[in-house]
Amino acid sequence: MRTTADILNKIIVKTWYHEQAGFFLVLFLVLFGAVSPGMQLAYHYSLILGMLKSPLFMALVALAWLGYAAKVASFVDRILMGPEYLFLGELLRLRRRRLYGCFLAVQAWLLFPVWGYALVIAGVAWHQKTPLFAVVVPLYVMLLIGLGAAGYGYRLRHPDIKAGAIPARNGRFMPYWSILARYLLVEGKWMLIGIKLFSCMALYGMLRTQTRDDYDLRLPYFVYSLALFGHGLLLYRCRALETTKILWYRALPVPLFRRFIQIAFFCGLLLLPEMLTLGWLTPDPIRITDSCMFIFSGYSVLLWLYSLLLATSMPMDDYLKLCLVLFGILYVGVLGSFLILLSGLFLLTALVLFKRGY
Amino acid sequence: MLELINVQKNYGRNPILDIPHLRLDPGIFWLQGPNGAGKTTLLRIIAGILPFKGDIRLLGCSIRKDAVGYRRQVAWADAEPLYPGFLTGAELLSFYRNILHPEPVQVDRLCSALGIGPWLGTRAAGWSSGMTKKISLLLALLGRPALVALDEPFITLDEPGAIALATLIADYRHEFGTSFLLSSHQDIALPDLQTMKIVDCYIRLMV
Repeated sequence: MRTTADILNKIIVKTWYHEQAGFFLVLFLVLFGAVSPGMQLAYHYSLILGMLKSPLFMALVALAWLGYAAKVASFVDRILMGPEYLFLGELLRLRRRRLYGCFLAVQAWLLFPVWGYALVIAGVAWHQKTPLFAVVVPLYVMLLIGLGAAGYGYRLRHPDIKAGAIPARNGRFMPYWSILARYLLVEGKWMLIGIKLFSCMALYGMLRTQTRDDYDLRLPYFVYSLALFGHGLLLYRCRALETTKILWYRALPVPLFRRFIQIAFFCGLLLLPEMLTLGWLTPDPIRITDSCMFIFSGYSVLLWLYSLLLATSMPMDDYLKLCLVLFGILYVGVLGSFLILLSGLFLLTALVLFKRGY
Repeated sequence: MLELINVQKNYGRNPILDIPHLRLDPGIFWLQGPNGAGKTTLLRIIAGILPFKGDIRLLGCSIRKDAVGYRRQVAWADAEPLYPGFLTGAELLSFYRNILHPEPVQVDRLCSALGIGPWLGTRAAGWSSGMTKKISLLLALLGRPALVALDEPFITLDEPGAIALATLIADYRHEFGTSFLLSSHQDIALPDLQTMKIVDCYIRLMV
């Protein structure tokens, strides 16, 4: 039992926190980076009071937790059905109750950020004499943990239930970018939705507060660059797909320009929600030149990251470090007002890297 | 037909292949070697998938100077092919057709020979390893490549599938003059088969 738990921890829990390091960094910055360290307790206390007083706010939090649980479930599904983890089918030899216990422990570790915060909410609710929330919130989280664990066991017993959510395009012309887009929509949809929601909502929220008298894009760009960091993870997953399940594409006689166009289009498509959000906010509250700068810098960075991954394979750790450095450089570009120059440089080097990688 | 010039490949500090010069005339070649000898690596290098030092020329076309022209003449199928689970066989076929422009008759012939027609409408996630293998072979045999590199082409195939593949290889050689480079741990029964062995990072042609 101990060995089984250790193996599941290593394969699922550690991989999850490792893969989602960027997501948790963004979450941490959003939750704890907004106020000074001395004000953290008071800030979160008032946030929780807001949840307890407004059922709509609490419902939104519950929805966010559900989204996180769905993202976790999608990840575990990918692990359980991955060809390299076929041996996990051996777990079916365990008694159902034992298997459920194993997955329950795994799910509890995966949902640690949720139940950790939920316990604090329940404690405050109890202290504020609102026993309904003190009971309902932990119950809801327990439900998420319990149902998730049961779902993993079911999935292991029924490996054939999943059909692609996107309709097949039998016999019709299928451009290369559409394979990558479908991959993200089918196998990375929660990650994609999470990043897009964060990116567009943060852009909208931060730019909406800009006025003619108080026009400062440094903070909005900082948050935007965090969202671009998330996009870097999406591109990493796409490259991982290309080096495994689309390896055959490299052997096909596809001219450099044609392949580049496919990737250039894909990067543009990936950034489309942000482009629309920025377009909506242009020319007021964001000026047209600044809006174009946001789009151009985001696009050139995405293209650069993809080209880099094409030219050289690197482990996720190194890639994430590089992404952080890159976004640090971009932010310096914003502070020093030479972002356009930097973005142009990224675009040029992206072309060189792409040619080299091809 | 195929010329390898100073081909070198290392994984980290471990040299896997070091071939100063090798020239192969058209034909069917059986590449042998123990596990880890570098057979898969060599086939992937020849297919233009893995980077390497040196140069390869196919019918005089250098992979360094004209990568697309080179790739137009070579086809490849992996030992354990993988496809995104959400794609159907028909979609994959359509994708390849758009790049290679094979004759419709050829597609029908391959589908019929390998017995995969009914599976084309299904998604890769539902295919058995044998069916995935057949799809990969179908895609590798599309068009008129001068050289087809097949990594362990007979594993996971059922008996009729293996016979059909052997027949297709012989037919392609006879009809189109296509050359084949096959790696296999199983015995291969094909006419005019020439054997090559990878020994200590080097390829020896066995007489």
